[in-house]
Amino acid sequence: MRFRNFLLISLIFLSGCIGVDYFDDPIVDPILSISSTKTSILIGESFEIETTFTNEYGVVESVPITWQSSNVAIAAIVEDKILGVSSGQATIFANYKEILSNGIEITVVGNLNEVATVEITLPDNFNTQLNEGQTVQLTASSFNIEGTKLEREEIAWMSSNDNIASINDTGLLQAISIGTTNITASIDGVTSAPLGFSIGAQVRTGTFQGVGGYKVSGSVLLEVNGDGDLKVVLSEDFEADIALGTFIYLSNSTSGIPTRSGGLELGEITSNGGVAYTVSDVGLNDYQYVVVLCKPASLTFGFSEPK
Amino acid sequence: MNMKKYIAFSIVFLFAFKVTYAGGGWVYKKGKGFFKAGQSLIYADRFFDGNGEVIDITTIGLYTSSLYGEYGLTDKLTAIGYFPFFVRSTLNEIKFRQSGNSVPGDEVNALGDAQIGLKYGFNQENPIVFSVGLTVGIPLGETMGGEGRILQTGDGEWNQLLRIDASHSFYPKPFYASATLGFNNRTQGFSDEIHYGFELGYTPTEKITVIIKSYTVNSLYNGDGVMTMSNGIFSNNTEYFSIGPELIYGITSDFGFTAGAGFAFSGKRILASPNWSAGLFMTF
Repeated sequence: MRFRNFLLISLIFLSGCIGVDYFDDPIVDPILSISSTKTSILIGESFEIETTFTNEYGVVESVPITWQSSNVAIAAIVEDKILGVSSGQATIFANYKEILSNGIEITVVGNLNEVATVEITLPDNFNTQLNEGQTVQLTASSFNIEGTKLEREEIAWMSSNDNIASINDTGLLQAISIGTTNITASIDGVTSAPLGFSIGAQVRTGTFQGVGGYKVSGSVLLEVNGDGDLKVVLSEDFEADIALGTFIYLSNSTSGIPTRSGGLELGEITSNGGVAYTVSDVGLNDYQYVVVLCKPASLTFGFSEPK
Repeated sequence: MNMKKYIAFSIVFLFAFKVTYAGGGWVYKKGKGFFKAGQSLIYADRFFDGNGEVIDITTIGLYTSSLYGEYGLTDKLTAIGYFPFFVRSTLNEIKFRQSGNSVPGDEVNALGDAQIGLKYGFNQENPIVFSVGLTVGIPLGETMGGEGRILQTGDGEWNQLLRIDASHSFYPKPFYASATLGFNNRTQGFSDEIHYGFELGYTPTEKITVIIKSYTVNSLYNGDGVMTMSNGIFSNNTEYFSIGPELIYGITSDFGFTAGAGFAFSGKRILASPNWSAGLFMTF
């Protein structure tokens, strides 16, 4: 009896609940972006542009916006709306403090005979990823504000960087050297939205290094494939300390907690050797580091900074 | 002071500090023994990395409920058993203040790794007593627990700790001192370890013993070159130097409680937070 009482008194468990760790969100560059499904309007017509501001913590926030037009004689800002004043194109920007948004090209037309939009078309089986020396014939079409095609013969082509890719008067694009460039076509003074081309293999490579006394070695290749997806390839000689819950991340920090919270998790590794991941909607330079992370503890084992 | 009680108290302390650090150089007489039900708690948001630097980590909790016993098989041979019958490991949820985004936590409740051993005492009638012991770790714990299979209550390996202990009582002065040196042979790619520790005990009254102790573990770094899924960051090539106090209070002549803490002053690959412990013990 005495022994049993002793046990009963003793077996009082200290079973803790799962607690909560609070952190500030990772610091990022604040972004003010504007968007509109409408890029052309009639003179006298007005519409609103959608704005989104994400603050330094990546949180969407409502902020007071000021507007700019590159040419108020064409498109003016009246009571936070874009007002068509006269025929032509103007670029609209938004401002919040020192932060400038992306620009939206607005075309103002006076009637249905005026060009409202210009679209560039790629031939079938081509995309915007080209090899050096490759050529591709582009075409451009013009439309009025109701979307009806307008026949025009004079097209002005332009490349933002002729050293990367040049384009002649007929729309023949010549890929020259590794890099990116934007192509635009102008018809009746109305310029298309830029079409970005990547020339040559878009890759970054780097070597892993361990941190905090942990071992990580091997190399990594980041490559944009023909579909525009980002491929991350760990080399066959990749070797790392692998604990339970060891993951590969793309991150803009090498620290564990910011990586776990703000990085892009590619997948878990359970053995050494080569492995490849493919992710969509991620640019080649969106993330600075490839991190080997012990996810449970948010502990960085090592990283690579591909160049 | 009663020497028998004094020795019993020292055994209690030694267990509370490190399970395998039991009794110092003293052993139980045949048919005599000691039993303890204990709790220990580690709640850590910092970690000694492989370079010994303290870094922030997601908070990890480890709660252990255990039973421990020693029994004198002969006047010189004592059997030792340790059974962590309930181990709870938790990983905190992460919440971000500004966005409200969160990363869910995790938990596992399971057995821990048990230990059994034998200790042989010699020179027991002399001022400095010695014992040699062998303790075997039994991998009953969970090595891939929780929703994410990333929590552990055991290391998944059989290990053998061979040790020698020496103790000296300053009786009739109410002090004692002990020292231990051990070699922990680990399997499954874990590195072997050298253990050593010291403790000083002071018994100001018959009911109270106050102890200060240190314990050091050094890795021999002779395991697998890299960590693997089974010998993860918290269990392989772990090193630490800790110092901690212990209080033992005897409610009756053979029943009492203990409370203590271990503070790691340096370490590698180990949680950088105190290990709190408490327990009830009885001798027979």
